Amino acid sequence: MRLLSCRLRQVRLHRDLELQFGRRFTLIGGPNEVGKSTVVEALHKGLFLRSTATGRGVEELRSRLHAGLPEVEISFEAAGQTWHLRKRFAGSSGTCQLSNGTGVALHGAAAEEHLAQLLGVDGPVEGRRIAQLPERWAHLWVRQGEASSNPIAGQQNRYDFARLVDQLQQRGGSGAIESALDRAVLEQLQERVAQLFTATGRVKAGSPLAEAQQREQTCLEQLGQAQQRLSELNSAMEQLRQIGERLQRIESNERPALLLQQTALAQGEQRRLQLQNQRQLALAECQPLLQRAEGLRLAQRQRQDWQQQQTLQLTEQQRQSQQLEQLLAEQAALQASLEEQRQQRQRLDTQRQQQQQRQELAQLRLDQHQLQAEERQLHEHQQQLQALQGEAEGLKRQLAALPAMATEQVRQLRQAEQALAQAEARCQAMAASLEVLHADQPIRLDGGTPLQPGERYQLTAEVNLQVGPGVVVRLSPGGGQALPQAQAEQLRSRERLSSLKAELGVATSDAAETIERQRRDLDAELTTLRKAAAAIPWAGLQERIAALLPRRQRLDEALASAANLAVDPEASDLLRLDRAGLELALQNLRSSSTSLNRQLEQLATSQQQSAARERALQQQLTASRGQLDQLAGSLQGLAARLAEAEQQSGPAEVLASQLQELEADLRHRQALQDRLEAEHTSLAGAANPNGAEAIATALQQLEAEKDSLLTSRGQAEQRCASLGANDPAAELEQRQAAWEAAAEERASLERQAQALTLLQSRFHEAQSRLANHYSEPLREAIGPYLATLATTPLQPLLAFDPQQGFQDLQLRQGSEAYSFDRLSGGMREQLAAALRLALAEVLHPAYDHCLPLVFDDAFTNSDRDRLIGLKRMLRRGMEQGIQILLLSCHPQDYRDLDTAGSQQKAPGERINGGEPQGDLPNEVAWVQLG
Amino acid sequence: MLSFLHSADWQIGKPYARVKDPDKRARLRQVRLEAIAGIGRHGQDRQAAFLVVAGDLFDSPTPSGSDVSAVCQAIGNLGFPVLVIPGNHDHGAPGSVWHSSFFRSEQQRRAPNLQVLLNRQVLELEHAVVLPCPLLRRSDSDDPCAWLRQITWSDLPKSKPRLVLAHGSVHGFGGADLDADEENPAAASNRLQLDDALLQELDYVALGDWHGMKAVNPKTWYSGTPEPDRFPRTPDYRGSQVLGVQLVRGGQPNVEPLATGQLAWHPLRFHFNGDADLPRLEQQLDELLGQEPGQHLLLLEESGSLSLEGHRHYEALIERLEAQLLRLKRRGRCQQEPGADELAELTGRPGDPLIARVAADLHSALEEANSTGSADTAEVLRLALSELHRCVRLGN
Repeated sequence: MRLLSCRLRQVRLHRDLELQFGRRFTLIGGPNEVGKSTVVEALHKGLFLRSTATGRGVEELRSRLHAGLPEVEISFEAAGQTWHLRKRFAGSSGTCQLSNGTGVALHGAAAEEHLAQLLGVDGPVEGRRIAQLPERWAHLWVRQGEASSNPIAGQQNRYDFARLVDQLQQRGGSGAIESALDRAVLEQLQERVAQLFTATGRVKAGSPLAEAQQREQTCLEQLGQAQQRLSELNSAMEQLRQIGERLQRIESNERPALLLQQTALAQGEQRRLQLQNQRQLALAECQPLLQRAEGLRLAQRQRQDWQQQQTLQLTEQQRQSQQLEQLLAEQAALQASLEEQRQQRQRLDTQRQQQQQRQELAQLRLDQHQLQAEERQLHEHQQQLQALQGEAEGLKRQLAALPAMATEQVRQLRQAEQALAQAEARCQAMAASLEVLHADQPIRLDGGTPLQPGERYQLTAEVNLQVGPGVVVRLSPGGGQALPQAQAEQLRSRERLSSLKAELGVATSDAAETIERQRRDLDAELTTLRKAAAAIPWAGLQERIAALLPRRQRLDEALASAANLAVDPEASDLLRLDRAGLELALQNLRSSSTSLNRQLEQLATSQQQSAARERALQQQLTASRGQLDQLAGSLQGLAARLAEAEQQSGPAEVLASQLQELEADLRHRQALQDRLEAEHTSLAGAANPNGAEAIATALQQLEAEKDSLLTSRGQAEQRCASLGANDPAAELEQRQAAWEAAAEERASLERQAQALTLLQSRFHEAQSRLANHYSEPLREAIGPYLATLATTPLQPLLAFDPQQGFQDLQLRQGSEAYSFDRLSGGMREQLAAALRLALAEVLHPAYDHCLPLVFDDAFTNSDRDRLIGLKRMLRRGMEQGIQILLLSCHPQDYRDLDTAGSQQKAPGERINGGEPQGDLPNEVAWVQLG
Repeated sequence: MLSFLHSADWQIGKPYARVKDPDKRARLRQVRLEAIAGIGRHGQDRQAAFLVVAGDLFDSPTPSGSDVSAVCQAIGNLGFPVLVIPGNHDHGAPGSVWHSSFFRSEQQRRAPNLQVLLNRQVLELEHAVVLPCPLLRRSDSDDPCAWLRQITWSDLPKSKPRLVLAHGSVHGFGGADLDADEENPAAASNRLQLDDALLQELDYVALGDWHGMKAVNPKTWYSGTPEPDRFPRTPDYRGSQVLGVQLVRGGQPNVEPLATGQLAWHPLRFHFNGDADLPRLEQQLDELLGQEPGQHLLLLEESGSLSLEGHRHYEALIERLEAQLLRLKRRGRCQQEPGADELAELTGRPGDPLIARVAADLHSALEEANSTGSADTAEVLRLALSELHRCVRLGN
């Protein structure tokens, strides 16, 4: 496939651009933004994008400068013919026409499809799949910025993988590569494996294997169900059998046994009643004997009791007599002690009376002293009060002699004096001062007396100063109106002062202050006197003095009475004592009296205790005597009863003998009764009153169980009939056989699937081992291109995988191999370009021995030193039949490429759509856009 | 002298589920019913007093109604009494066929000569005393013959021969275990205790369970099944008969096997050493099956291997046999392994390097698997080679 020319209309910058391509080399130059890359895009979309595409792919072609829809026309050679392609991108109404010179003219979809066939692709790219567009001929179409990307990275269809492998096989020789049969077999295997397994190796749903597995599973489930049904049937039969056995046991064993027990129980009850009657009869016979024996035992016990009581009471009588004697002795001692205590108390009472009399006398004497002292004090107060009153009268008189003068008034007077002084000072300050220092003529003021030298004059108002006869000078003091005001104030102050002085009757403020101080001192003294008088209880003084008189009289009477009664020498001493002595004596008397009182209390307590003890002794004596009397009576009674009993029953020995005989007879009868009782008890135990009831209950329970079992039997029979209707044993065998068949089928299919998978994997392994047959020719194709680049040997390395395609592109430099990604940007550009040239070289036989290879600014990272090598590489590409389209901002760098090759012709240069040179394209074309 | 017939293990209703063809299945089932008439002819010939069936008259305790009717009809046609005990397959548990109203009505209507012995108690007949030991559960740990030891033998008639009917294995002969195969698993074992002391009191023990004829001792016999239902596992296995017994009290029984079977069950073991063995097999089959292969059942135990082509022929033969025979059962496997020329056909393909290399690899792996005894791996490898061969044939 070879590009011949193109025409772009309304494509971005280009209104109408027509280009002729060199058959081997086309150089399109021009500065940035002149539309070089647009040419590359437009050519690519013209070839690969469906004309009816919409969306971004078409929008990018639209021109904002030129009206109209984008149109791309391309002339090219393919399949031995020259083709003319015209696409108008108008959205869904876009058009495509493809024609050749031999009469083929296709339109629309047919044209698109035929174009795709010529280009070796599946079909035009739809607008909605615009992302696929860069994949088309990605190995031949190097856009700006993509030059350093790895051409064989990504999906295999980016670099026409199938066709490349085909061409490589042809280059490698027929003996070393896979055959059509190989491929056919492998495809068949892959197809069969794909029918069975998913890409992830799982069994594919709907595949025969999956269906077989499903069938086996279903059969297994059915087998399980059949086993379950058979098991249920067996269980139901077993249940039925157990129910039958149980019913049999109930009817044959348990129910008859219970009925037997019921009969035995009735017979036992009858015998028990007989025994009960015999026992009652024996008991009745024993009863009189028992009563008699009891009477004898009672009489014997009674007599023994009486004898015992007699012994006890005699002992008690003796003990009580001894106790009575002891009590009487104690009573006598106690009475003597009580008499002594009574006498002592009498003495103490006498002493206490004397003490009280002395105490009363001493108190009277003290009261007398107290009365006297009070009388004296009242008289003293009376005298002091009188003296104070006299002194106060004197002071009052002095105060009345002084003029009334308040402190406030003195202060006002002083303020008035100060105001006058200040007014005068102001007048003085504002007045002019005049002093005659020397005068040879008389100087007068307002015609007054001549002024004398050395005298100073104060001028407070305008004056006329006359000097001699002929000179009159008017003098005016300063201050303006202030001086007359000051003078007025001075006058007011003076008048106020005079008024105050007249009011107070004093000449100066100092005099007024003196008077005021004197008055204040007199007031203070009066106050002091009042306070002194207040300290004296003067109120009712006279009355109190008068009130002392009756007290004195009473005291005197009492003392007289006491003196008359007092015969006690100690009491007479008291009359001679002073107050202090009296107080001391009184205290002693009180102390002594207290001691006497305490002695008396102790004695009284002791007396009470002795009296209480005496009462108690008296009671004990009485009780003891009573008991002795009772004992005597009781002993007498006992003796009488014993005598009576012996008289009635004879001596005690006879009584004991009778009793022994009777008891032996009773023991014999008791043994007989015990035997009867034992048999009765045994029968009563067997004939448990609950026994009959229990048997009846058990029978009822058995009946209920039987009913329940009959119901269960009916149900189990129903289940057996239901489960056995379809012969579950036969069904189980059928299910088992079906499952075995399904399992065998599944196993067979699995073995077959394993065989197919094994075959496929073996084929892939074989392919991998043969991969060198693919990678080697490609490496050989790259080698010469790399050899043109540098003088140092560069060796390409790449691997081939039947599934993944070519990969692991590396470059060996010397002994080191570097992966593509680790190379420098410039080296990546150069190695990628070499690989693209090699790919185009390998592929072009499939495209009529020519393929275009487009480089749009593809060597921007390469050193300029490498430019020569690069051009050698491109030139080799041209020599191998590759049509190179080179777009660059620096076209001059590649101008000398036209000199390459012997077949080259003079380049046809066309600027801005100029006319092409000649009818046939030249080998080389230069185009300068701008 | 008492003359009667002893049979067992009719297993009417056996489904033959592993026979895929429903017509053949029906034929196999029908043959078992027809065997009853064959027994009847022997009984009439020998003027048998009765026929005893020692268990497993039916194949299951719940046979279908049609089988019940057919059996009753067939027994009713015999013309002499038939005494039956339940076996382990058709045990006499409540809920089983023997208790069903349908069976009872069919019995009364069609087979009044049929007497099912469900109780372990003495049954005195005109000329014999029958001591039945029915199985009343599928599996019973108790000896069904235990009740015989409780019998006061002096109470029994002195002149009537004593006949025990039982179903199960006896000491020294585990019939069920020996009889089992993958299609007829051993049923629950019911062990019968028949010691010498007991045997001294008896005249004949009619046993069932073992499908081949077997004399455990002169008085104790397994009759075998009148129509075989499985391939014999030993050469001395004898099916297809009923026993004609003549008996006097205190004497040795006279037992005569009487043929009843219609179908032939053949086991055939064949080893393939190469494709040349195929004609040999075909010849053997012709001799074995004769002109009526539809009356035969064949168990083909195959081993060895054939070439891919030979195996294709073998598969065609197998397909033919499956169509002709009443049943073809295969056991083992005849491997398919490419012959030298077939292998050369795959590996000697310079023009198809992938096929040649894969074939060589597979062959090498197969030889290794054969040498190491990895049977599964070897089988997959053989299959892969076969598939490759087939694909290449198709591709060519």
